Amino acid sequence: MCGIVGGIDTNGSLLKGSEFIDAISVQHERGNGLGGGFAVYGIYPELKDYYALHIACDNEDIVGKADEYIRAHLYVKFSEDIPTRDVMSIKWHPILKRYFVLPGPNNEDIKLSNIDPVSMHMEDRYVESYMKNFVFGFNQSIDGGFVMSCGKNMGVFKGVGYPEEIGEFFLVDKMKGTIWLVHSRFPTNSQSWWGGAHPFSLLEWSVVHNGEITSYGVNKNYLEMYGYKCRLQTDTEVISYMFDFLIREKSLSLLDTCAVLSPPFWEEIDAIKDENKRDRIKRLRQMFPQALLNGPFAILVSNGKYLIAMNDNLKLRPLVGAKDRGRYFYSSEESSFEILCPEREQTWQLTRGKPEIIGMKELNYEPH
Amino acid sequence: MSLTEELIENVLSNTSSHNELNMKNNWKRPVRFVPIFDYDRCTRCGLCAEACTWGEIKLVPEDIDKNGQPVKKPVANRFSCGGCHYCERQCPENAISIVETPFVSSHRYWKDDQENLWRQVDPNKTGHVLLISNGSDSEIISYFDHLMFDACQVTNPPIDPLREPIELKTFLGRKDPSDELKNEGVTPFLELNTPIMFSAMSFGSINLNVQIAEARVAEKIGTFWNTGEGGLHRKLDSFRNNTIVQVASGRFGVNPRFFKNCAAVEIKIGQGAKPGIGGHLPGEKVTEEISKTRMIPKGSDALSPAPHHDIYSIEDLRQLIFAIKEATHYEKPVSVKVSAVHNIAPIAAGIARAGADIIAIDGFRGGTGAAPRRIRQSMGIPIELAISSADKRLREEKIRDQVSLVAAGGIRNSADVLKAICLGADAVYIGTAVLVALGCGLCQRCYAGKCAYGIATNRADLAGRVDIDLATEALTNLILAWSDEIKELMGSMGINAIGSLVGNRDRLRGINLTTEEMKVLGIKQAGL
Repeated sequence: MCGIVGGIDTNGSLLKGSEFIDAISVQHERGNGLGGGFAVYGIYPELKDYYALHIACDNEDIVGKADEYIRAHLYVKFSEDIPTRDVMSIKWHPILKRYFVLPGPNNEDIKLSNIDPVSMHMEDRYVESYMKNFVFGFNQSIDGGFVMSCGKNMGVFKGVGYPEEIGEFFLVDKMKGTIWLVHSRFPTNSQSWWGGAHPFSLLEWSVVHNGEITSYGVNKNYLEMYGYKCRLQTDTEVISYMFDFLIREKSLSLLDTCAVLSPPFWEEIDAIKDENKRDRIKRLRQMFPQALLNGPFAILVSNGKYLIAMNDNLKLRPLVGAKDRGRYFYSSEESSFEILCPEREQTWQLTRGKPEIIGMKELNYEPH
Repeated sequence: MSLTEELIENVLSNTSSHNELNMKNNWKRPVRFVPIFDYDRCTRCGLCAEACTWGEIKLVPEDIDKNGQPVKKPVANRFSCGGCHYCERQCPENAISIVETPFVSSHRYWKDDQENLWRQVDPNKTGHVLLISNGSDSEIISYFDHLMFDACQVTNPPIDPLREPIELKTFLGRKDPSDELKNEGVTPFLELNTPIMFSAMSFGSINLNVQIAEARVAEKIGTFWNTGEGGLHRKLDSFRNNTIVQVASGRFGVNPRFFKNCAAVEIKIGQGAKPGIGGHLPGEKVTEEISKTRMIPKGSDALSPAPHHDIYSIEDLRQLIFAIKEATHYEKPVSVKVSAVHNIAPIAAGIARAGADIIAIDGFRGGTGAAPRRIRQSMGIPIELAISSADKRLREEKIRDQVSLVAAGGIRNSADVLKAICLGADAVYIGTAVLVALGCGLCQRCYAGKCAYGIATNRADLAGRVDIDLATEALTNLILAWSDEIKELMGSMGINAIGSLVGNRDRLRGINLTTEEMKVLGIKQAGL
């Protein structure tokens, strides 16, 4: 059992971190203090062209190694400690740093020639796979350190504790963002450590997840075949990689990606009247059976542009949605909406297997 | 002297002739099985003697009935019973029991080999390579028996297959249309409603009635049957959407009609029971129908060479694969079937790169109509290890999506099917299970052409013992029952799509295996 909350304002205004801390704290029962975290988009507007690398290292030695590793592989615009405040219940925490980076080593040529690396022409695809490989390389090479997030203009703040404690620790109450994903953890299959807390993030993709992926072994094998490295000891990791893989590597649309991850049953596919749509979904299931996420899950996913809410196709985990004047919220429990949107226009249960995709402009996809 | 007394006298005198010692008897084959008759139940109907095709049961007159006809009682000859149990099952009075009479040797190490050696050197016959049928019954560890599935408890709910859909739909073929095939449009694939297919058994090794039943069931359920290397009988053309035709080294029956009336083509390189060995259907078994189907003269030996004479390495295989693709206009997936051998992993990778859409791997337990005993018992490796290694290697080389894997050889039940899938197979072939489903007692004498059940013979009088309708029903039950059991297993594992188990070694644990064995299987020790 875990608790999840997420929100987006389709009008583009910022949502307050303090409200999300309160919204997850009313789901206290759903966690056990072994993990909490926040993913927030739109927090680094001044450095939005740089990848914001959030890292955690167990001690100063590892920080040194990590720093060296980062500077060997990336151009660092700016780096600092992630600001934190002391919280009684958090007895120990790793050293937390953030780097604002671009691909390519931190070589003097760039600085000397006075070229702005941002304007340097490089194909997005190439840059992104470079960054992705960097993250896998870092997690593999730096024992005792891991990358929390590495997307542009976004960040993940997570750790071992109740989410309200983690929120206080990271000063989340002072943050404002366009999209929020929040998680309270009750770990079942893996040990609790800072890297195991949600959200899981890769490049712009972040995921919070309540459930268990029974197809993890298959999903992991499949991703590893394509160069992904699952090192964070938790099934949720594969979800963020799967979004990245299907959209970036296989060039699927967001809608098709959702259909691959939580497809309709064959009976339902056979009943689709529109022949093109039926063939497309059939083809997707045929091509990507190993990307399908099996088992009970409720997930909230974002890439900074959309907030995606989705259940497994048996609906074995709770997930409710609410709408309030262009703001959309999703949560494991309706109680969170009393804090986020007490005046809401509408509250609904998500339909099994049917993703809801909310962008700055309303978007809904009905594969069923 | 009454007639009865006379008869009894006759019988007695026959059996008590002057006996002499004779070295010829040194090679007498020990009797492994013997039918025992319960004469109180026996009605002297004589059906057992008719049933037994092996000459084990003789009828001995013992009385005269009121119409003056002799009453005969069945007596075992005690020289040819192979334990097929046909007489036992056919006896209307259940008056027969087949009893095993193990050869008692004073030497434990030599026991089995004494028997075999005598058969081999018997001067009363020509010395010969020992022949055997069916899959290896060797006592080598069966890895299937050492694997346990994971089930859901507390943190994730199991699924009840009676309440929620659990889907077995499987696709075989290339999932990642790479470079060269991209221009050919949608790559061809096979769609299976359950991941179980009928393995290659040729017309010749089994009779047409069995093939007809297989084809009907494949069509009804939505899976595939395989012609084996004996060509495609005209009667089966209409099952084209559910037929896999096989091109083997003998190239029997390979013609345009054959390519037209199939869903996929399989190139048979090897077979689990006899890796590196060809086949030999003796001329006397090549009947009119077989001769037409195989396109060889009636009565001539049908010889399959050990290698394909146009395949001496991987590039030749590639040419054959693409020759077949050309011939079938790139509309049909091409499968390559190989035996599970030591370096199966690189072989599988080579086949994938050679352009095959499906690789079928046949483990050493795979069945056969006839194979040299030494080959069957001591060549090849278990399918569990082979499929796991091949799957792993294809992933390492990032080409697993280019090809589907089919596991064959030694799959006895639905749990074996699912274990093979968890170890990396997309689907399985079953052969021996089909025979057993039709009643086969696994006496391992298919090569003799005298199958009492009428399955592995084309003798007209015996082939009729297979009733096509009943056989169809039994095979339908086989596939449906196994599919339901697989759904139950998947439900306990909390998985509702079979694709989520292909190569899902996480959901398997090993018991009583060495670290090295578990490494090859890619699984953890139970309890971890």
